[in-house]
Amino acid sequence: MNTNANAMQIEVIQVDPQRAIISFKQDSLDAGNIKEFREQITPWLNSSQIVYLDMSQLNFVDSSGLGALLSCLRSMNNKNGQLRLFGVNKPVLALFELVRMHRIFSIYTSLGEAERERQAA
Amino acid sequence: MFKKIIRWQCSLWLTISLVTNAIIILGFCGFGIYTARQQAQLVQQEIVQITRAVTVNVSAAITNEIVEGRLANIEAFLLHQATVQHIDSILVTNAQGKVLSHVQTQFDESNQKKIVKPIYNNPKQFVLPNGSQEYFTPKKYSYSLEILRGARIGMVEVSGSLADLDLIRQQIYLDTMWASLIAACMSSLLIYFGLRQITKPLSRATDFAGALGTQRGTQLRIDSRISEVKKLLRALNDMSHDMGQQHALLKDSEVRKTAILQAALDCVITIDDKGNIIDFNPAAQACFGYTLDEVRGKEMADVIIPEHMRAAHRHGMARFKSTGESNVLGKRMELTAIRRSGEEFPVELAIIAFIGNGQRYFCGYLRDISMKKAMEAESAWSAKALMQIMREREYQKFALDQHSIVSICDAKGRITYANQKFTDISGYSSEQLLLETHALLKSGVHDAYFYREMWQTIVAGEVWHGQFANQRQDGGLYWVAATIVPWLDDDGHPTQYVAIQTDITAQKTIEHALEDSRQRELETGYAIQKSLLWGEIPADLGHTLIATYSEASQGVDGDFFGFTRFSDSCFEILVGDVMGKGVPAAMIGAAVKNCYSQILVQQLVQPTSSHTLPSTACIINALHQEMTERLISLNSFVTLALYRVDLQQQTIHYVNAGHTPAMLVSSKATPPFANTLANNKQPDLQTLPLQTLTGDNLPIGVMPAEVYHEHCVSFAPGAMLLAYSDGITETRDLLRTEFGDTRLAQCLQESHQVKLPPSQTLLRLRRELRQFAGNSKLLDDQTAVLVAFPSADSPSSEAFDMHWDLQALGMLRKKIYAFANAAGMQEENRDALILGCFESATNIIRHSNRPFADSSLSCKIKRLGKAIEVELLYVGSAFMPSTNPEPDFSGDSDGGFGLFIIEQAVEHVIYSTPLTGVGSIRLIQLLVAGEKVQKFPVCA
Repeated sequence: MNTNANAMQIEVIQVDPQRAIISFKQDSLDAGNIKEFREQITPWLNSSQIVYLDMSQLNFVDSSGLGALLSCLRSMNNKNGQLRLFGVNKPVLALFELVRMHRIFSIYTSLGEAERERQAA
Repeated sequence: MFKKIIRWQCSLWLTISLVTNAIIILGFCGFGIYTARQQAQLVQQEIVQITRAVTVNVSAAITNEIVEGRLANIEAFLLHQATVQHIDSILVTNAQGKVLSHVQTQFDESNQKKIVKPIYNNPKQFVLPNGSQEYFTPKKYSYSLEILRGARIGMVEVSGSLADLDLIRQQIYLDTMWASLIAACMSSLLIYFGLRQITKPLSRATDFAGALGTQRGTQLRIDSRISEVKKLLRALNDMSHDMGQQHALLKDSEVRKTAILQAALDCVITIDDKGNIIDFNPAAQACFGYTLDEVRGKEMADVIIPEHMRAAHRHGMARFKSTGESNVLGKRMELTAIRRSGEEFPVELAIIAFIGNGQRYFCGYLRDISMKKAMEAESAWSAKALMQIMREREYQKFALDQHSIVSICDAKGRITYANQKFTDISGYSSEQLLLETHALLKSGVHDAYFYREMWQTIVAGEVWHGQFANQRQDGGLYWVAATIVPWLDDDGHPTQYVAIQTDITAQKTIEHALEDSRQRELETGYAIQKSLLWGEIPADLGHTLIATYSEASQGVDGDFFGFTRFSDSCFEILVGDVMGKGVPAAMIGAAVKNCYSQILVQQLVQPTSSHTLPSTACIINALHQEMTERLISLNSFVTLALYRVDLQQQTIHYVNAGHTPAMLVSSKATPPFANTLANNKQPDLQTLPLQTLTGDNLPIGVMPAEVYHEHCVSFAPGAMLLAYSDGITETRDLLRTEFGDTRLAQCLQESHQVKLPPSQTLLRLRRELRQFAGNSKLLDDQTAVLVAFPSADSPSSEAFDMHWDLQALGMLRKKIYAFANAAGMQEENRDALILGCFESATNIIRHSNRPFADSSLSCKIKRLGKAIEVELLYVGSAFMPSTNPEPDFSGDSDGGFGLFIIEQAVEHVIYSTPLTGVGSIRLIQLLVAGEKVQKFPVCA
């Protein structure tokens, strides 16, 4: 487990000018590192219309991390964009279900499923 | 007053009364005399008529010559006449004069009635008169008449008594007199009462008139019915009113005149045409030294005019008298006067002439101008001196300008003047500076409070001294030592500010270099202290928990401590305090600590050591041998204590070299050793057993011959050992009261009773010390080492501390994860427990006020049967959520999930405050979901 917040990094793959795949390189998104997360992800949210968020590295999300994800979702919704999560681990999904956020977020098992669902829509 | 009234009344009433009475009396007298005369005439006429009647009656008788025979009838007639009339006698004679009949009346005294009696044979022979005749005697009136029948045949004489007539007359006079007297009395009374309508008002009017002008405002009562009197009274009232007003005006005028004269600052002297003083007002009296009584009537020339001028004055007076010409009247002139003391002095004089009561007077207004003359002289001198001062000021200003930066600001702080030095150093021209505030030069070195304090000082009219940095136009800084003086108006309000500044940039540069050097020294000292004086807490001491803290009174101190781990169950704690403070003390402390390490190594590697540890006494004695001489040469000494803890034997061997004795608090039972609290007070039921680990040796570096002895105590599981420097117990409050052993022991016992971890116990102690000291400055270094020995339940629990930082909470996740896995907790339960604990710790860090920047958060994880309890303990304001509102599940809100997550994630969550200012959150989670929930103890 890496708890060093300053090392918080996300990896971004720009599929096209409209789409970006953002992967967490950190095992937690919590009160200790959401500030860096917001700073790093905001430019991509602004520049992309569809963002796929790879949650497979995340093993822990607290209420602050959840708030940050909700903030990202609203940011995308506000510009009629899409935020799609995939690869959500069990502890994180448990939290989502606890606070019923699994109904709010678009959660997919994999990037492929997320992309297929988008194209189908 | 009464006499006046009497006199006045006599003169009016008596006069009128006398005159009236005289007239009445005279009238009555005249009336009486007239009536009496009328009465006499009536008697006479009656007698004449009777005589004639008798004559007629008798005539017939005589004619018949039978007088005798008819005489009886005549007599009867006569008798009748005599009876009813005032007749005394009736006499009838014949022609020869012989008495024929004579009837006479007499008054019968006995019967009180008149009787008539005829007289017979009266022999008297009468001579008969010719015609009628009447005659009077004093007592009688007689009338005789001839009886004629052709010729005289007889005569009849009737006489009446005049006595009756007198009687009547007297009666008339008497009645008249009485009547006149009564009339006079009546008239007098009538006049008296009639005149009262006049006399009384007149009397009052007289009195009133006499008092006119003396009784202002009084008015006569107008109660008379007589219009003339009413008019008179009204006229008097009007006159009184007018006179009152005139009197008041006159009096006011007199008072004003007197007041003016009395209050006049100038001398006012009035003289008559002979030159004699009439009036001499107080100013004149004060000026010349005479009283009014002394000078009144004296010639003025002799009093106030110097002798050599008197002749001219008299000549002038004489000329004015003879010709009416004067050189002084109506002019202002300056002359010389003389005081009583003989002192001559200049005066300014104006004289006017006026005429009063037909006499000429002169009034002189005279002012002593000796002061004015002196001031004129002084003013001339001052002007000269002022010129001199101004010249000197110019030189001083020149000198000041050469040395100082001078500027003047108006009341709003705008620069109105800046000298050459100012423009040179600031780089701004005079034109650029004009009407700018000093904010133009603000350097950014000082905060707003600095400038506000400066401005408030000078606005309050006080002088401000201080140093500050200004920024030049080119951006460079320059430092000045400034004095700002406000110039105040009469009301004390500043009108402008003069700032005189000296360039101290060079001095400041040196000071800053020195300060930087000192700061670097302190930082170096702190680094030395941290690395060399404060030992690292050894890891792998099983479940023994150790916390330390040290606070230097001067940044760096001589307090030191160190730990030496010999095995899992044996370690040593060295604590010491070097006499003195600062870097020298820190260096000595480092040397002592280093020496201790060297000695320990030497003794451990000695061939004779046979793998046994040297006793603490051996180590300290060796340290003493090594250091004491050196410390003595440095005029310093060190108090220290070495504690060797054997967790297996549950003993502490220690040597105390003059150091503050450590405190050992047991969890439950009183250990079986003798040492107790310094005050020998038996621990009560509310407090845990506590003993002090005292020693009997001197500090190192005091006496070379000192031999140090080892002591030993045992401790019960869960006991707590506190080694500390005297800076803690000697902390003083504002009243200079020491914190003392008792407060320290109480703090320790309370914390231990609620099983507060060592780190939180020390934080709580620090907070109590800070609250106790208030704003007092830390006088001595404070150092504490607190060791919590393992308790019976230690093997099934884990305790650790975390920094008070959100980014440090990864450790919490890691520890719970490991403990839960070791306990066989279900994965979902474990993740939920981690989530609940993480949220709780986040809440503490976000919402509780930590007392110190280096505060920490303690966590205890322990097994509770089929569950795990995680307790988060912290010193700070307790986080106690009162409500647990339903979060917004719509996704529109970023927050508000924390408490809900905690509640949902774990079986139990308990918020409490075990001690004041200490918070606790306990979270309990079952190992396997669906297990029966047991009752968990709740901390109060």
